[in-house]
Amino acid sequence: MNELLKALGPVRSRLRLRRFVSGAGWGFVGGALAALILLAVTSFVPLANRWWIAGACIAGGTLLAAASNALRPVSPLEAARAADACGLRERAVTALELAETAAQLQAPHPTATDRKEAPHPTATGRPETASVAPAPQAGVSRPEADITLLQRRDACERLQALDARQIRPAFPKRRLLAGALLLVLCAATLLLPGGGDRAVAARQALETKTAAMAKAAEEAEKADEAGLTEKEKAELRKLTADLKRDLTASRDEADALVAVDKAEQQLQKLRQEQAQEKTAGDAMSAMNALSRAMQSAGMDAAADALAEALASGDAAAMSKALSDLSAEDLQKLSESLTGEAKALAEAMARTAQQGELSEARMQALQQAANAQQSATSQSAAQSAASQTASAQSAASQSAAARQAAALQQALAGMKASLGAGQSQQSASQASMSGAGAGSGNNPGQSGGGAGAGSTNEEQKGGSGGQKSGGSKGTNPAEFKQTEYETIYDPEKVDVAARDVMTNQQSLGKDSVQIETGPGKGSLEGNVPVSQVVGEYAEQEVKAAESANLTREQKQWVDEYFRKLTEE
Amino acid sequence: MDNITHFAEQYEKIRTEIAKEMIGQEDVVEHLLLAVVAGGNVLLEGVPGLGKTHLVRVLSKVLDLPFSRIQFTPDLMPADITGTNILVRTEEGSSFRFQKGPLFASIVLADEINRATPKTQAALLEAMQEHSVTVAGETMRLPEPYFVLATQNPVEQEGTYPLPEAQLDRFLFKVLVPFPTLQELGGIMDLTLGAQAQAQAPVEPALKEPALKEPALKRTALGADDLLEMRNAAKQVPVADSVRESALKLVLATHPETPDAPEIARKYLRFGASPRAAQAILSTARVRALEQGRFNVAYDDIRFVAPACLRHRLALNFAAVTEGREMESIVAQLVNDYVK
Repeated sequence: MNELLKALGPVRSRLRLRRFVSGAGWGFVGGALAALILLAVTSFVPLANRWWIAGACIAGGTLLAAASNALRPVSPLEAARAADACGLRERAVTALELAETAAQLQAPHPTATDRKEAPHPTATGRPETASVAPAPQAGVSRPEADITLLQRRDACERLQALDARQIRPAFPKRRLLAGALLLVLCAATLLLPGGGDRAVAARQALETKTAAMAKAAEEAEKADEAGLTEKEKAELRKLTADLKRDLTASRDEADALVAVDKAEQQLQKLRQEQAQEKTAGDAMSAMNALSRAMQSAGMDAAADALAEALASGDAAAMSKALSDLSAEDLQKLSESLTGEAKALAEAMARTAQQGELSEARMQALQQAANAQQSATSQSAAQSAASQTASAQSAASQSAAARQAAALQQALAGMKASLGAGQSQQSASQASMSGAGAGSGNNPGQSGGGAGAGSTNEEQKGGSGGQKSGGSKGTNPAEFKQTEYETIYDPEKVDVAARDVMTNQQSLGKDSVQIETGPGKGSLEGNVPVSQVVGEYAEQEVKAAESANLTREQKQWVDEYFRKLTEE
Repeated sequence: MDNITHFAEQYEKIRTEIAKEMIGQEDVVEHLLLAVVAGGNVLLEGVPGLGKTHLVRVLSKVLDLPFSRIQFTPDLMPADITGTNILVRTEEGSSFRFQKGPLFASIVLADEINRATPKTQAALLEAMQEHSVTVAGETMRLPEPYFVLATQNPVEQEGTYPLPEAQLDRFLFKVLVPFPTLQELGGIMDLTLGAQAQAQAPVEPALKEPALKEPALKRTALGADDLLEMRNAAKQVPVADSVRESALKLVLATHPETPDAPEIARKYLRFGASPRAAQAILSTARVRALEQGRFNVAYDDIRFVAPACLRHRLALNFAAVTEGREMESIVAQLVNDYVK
């Protein structure tokens, strides 16, 4: 048995090679099929790097199937059959069966089956002896029949003389052809109108943009952070962090636009709060300065009333305290302020020489000095105090303002970028579908013209809008008044439209009932704008509610239709 | 072990001796020898003059076995072939004695077997199957080895009695004797007429060839004991399960009534082969394996012997007759489909 198995060794190796090639063929077909399905599906469901994944499917499927097929154990019977196919004429299979039978018979297990042929009568009627010599009881060793030994020896000699290279791996032509056909079909998926690649490209572009935006927001956050208060720093950091998170999580440009718009609103709100705080601070500073000036002028009662109102934060009390001032008190206050102004002018001159104050503060101080010098009334004093306080707070507020401006600028850039991308995408889709619908009206964005007849003066005159589509007269130089009075809309019944027959019914032998209805307008005819603008405005409101537009864009569109309606 | 190792040598010796007297017909000789060694009966079918009778006579001489020839005619009676009890008068008185018929030989040539009546044909059944003859209630064994080699003419059917299926089944092989090729025909002429006579004499029918020149065999190849040893050796040849299974499936495939019967069997066959066909295939395939120098049966052996084993055991149906299908093509297709 061992000798036989050893002789079958080269045959088994060749069979593994054959299996490897065969498995590779099947794997190639399977991989190509998987790739085809993947590419077909991802034509409609966007998937990044889908061609690389499809290639990996083919290569991986081929290798996996080849390896798994080659690593499957080759049974001795299979090897024997393969060897017999090389001209051994069933010598190997017979020898193997005889050896297995002998092994079973000599095994100690009593359940071993006796595989010898049962005697059967011959054509002459006498029983024929078994093909394999009669076997004794299982488990009892017995000498093998002569014919068995001869057969095994013959089989082993033939196997050893066999050139195993005769067992050639069959080149899987059909499978390769099938795989090639599937590859062609894979390539043909490029023709599918799914637009998966475009969506993936748009998503990648969006990711790139959002990454750039996040970086810009981060840089804007770091810009001149030293001049901010802790609260402002915290708010700005929170704002930029939210913006980065929203940008990263955005699935499309509309999401990114919403995120940027939200950040812009928050920033605007922050700036408003800062401005309010600044105004309140300026007023309080002016009041304090006025209170000190009144005290130095000897107007103790009025100064106390004002100080009390300041302490309580009651604006009406402050106003009353100032309005109750007599003419004499005002004169004293003027003189006092004149002295303050002089001192302030001198201080300003010194400071200017030292270059310590900013230009804004110097200008504010100069104005305050001028105002104080000419102040003869309560308002002048208030104005001077206000300007002085404003100048004093300018230095501390300038850092926050610069940072907010930088962030604002960054956000504007993001919006412009996103708007451009969205406009390009819309234009691309419009060109694909042939509908001619487009959007994009922000300055700096590439705007798409609407379909034929959707002209308007504002769109035409919009700065930065890029003309596309079939809008007529978008060049201001070609503007004609008549084109704005009428609009092309074949669905609307115009005077040029005629009644058409809508139904015909026979009522008898000579009687026919004909129903007519309003026909469509002439294709050459235009409809006055006034007839359709109301309906257009209603459609705009519905569309704007469901569309992914920023608040600014919605306002822009609303304003456009509002103006149209007013006209 | 000697009988196994020397099998091919002895077989070749027989073939060589036969070839000295038979020109061409190698395939017929091969099948005939396979059947003889396997211990079966053979039905030789061919037009007159192809040397069927001559072949049997040569075989009997080569094997040095008792030979008898029975020319079957419509008036031939069973007792004419089996023998009969005759009244014998001796000095001691009269008594019946069994006079052995021509069946009592090792090689019986039943010439034109289909010319005898079914009654006489049936008298052969016991001899063919049981190797015994029963006359007047007494059964007598026939000598071993024993085979019946019958001939029949497929063309001339008038006044003939087609062999019943039961009797056909007793024949291990049905061998078709083809007409010799041009070269073979020339060789026959050389052998029977002589090279010089061939130039002068007109071409005579082969029927007369034995009368013109009877070639004399000088020596025999082997005897009855050698033949029985060869038969025993062949019976030991192992058959792989897959090979045996293919033979059995082939026999089963000839049965149109079975659910797994192939389309061709269902369409053109009236009935299929009996289990004797499977026995015949395997036993003769074993002989061929040893003759080829192998100690195991191969698919090739099955393919070689299967048509001769099956062609007389199957019957075509009306559809096959009307469509002109021949048994040979149907059997060949079955063999190709089932013996891989």
